[in-house]
Amino acid sequence: MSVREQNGSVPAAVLGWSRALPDLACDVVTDADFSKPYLYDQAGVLPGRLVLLRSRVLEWAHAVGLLEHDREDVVMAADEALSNAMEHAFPDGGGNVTLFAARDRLARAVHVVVSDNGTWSVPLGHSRGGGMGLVMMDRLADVFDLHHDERGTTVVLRWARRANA
Amino acid sequence: MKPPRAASERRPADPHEVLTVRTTSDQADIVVVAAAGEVDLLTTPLLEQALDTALRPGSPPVVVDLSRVTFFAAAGIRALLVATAAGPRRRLPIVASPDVLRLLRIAGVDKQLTVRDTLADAMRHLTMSEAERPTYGNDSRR
Repeated sequence: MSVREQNGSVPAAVLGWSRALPDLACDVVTDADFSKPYLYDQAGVLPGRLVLLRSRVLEWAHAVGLLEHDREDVVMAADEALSNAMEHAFPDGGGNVTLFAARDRLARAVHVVVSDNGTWSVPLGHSRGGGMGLVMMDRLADVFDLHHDERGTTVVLRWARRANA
Repeated sequence: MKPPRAASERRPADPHEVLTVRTTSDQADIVVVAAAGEVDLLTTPLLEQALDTALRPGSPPVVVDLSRVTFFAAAGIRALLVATAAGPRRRLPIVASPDVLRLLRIAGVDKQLTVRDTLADAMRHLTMSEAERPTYGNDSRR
């Protein structure tokens, strides 16, 4: 279930999380319209969480009025971002993945942000998807940005607003 | 509105609840590996295990039926590419639902795989000899 804030301001938990993010992802969060449905969730690194997270992304995509193919693209790309984080970030298990999705204040785009605080010790190209997950994100989203530093990895996905979205 | 419970407070899904993979054989001695449900990071190992078993050397020809797959992630695409590379050339026809086919096209791998719309078409692909086999769109040079 996605939520919305009465006054549209950035909720404290989301604000705290965004301050540790790279610039682009932080901007996405501060520019988000919190009076519209948004999604903010943290999950342990367990592939068994993906089903629930995908259903939440789909529900949110419905709530912000995305059309069917856009909804599918958003769910697919978000799943790849979450899967990548789960596969690579925490070789020893443990740790959290954060999922954020919202529309921007000017209603020009929707964004999905996935961040982890892991180490990504396994090279990207050696995943189960053989780098396919990155290719998919790049092709599914209008903008795909992956930022990796000592704090962890952050993926930003952007879809420009279309039709009634 | 009350915020939903965090995903981490819920019980993680069991792979068998998310994807069912069944291996069956028909009179023509064709093995069908049929998946129903969602193929993701959690469930891809179920599909991989079934394909590994079905594609053991000397075993009968195999069809992968994904017509009842509603979600297909990159991990699943990788499993199909590995299985196709392991088997005899062009001998692993895949029945794709429209959703799966759309994904394979976005990934750009539909030409590397032998994709058919129906199980009957996929089986026909196996029962035809090499010479009889028509050159479908995804088999031919572009």
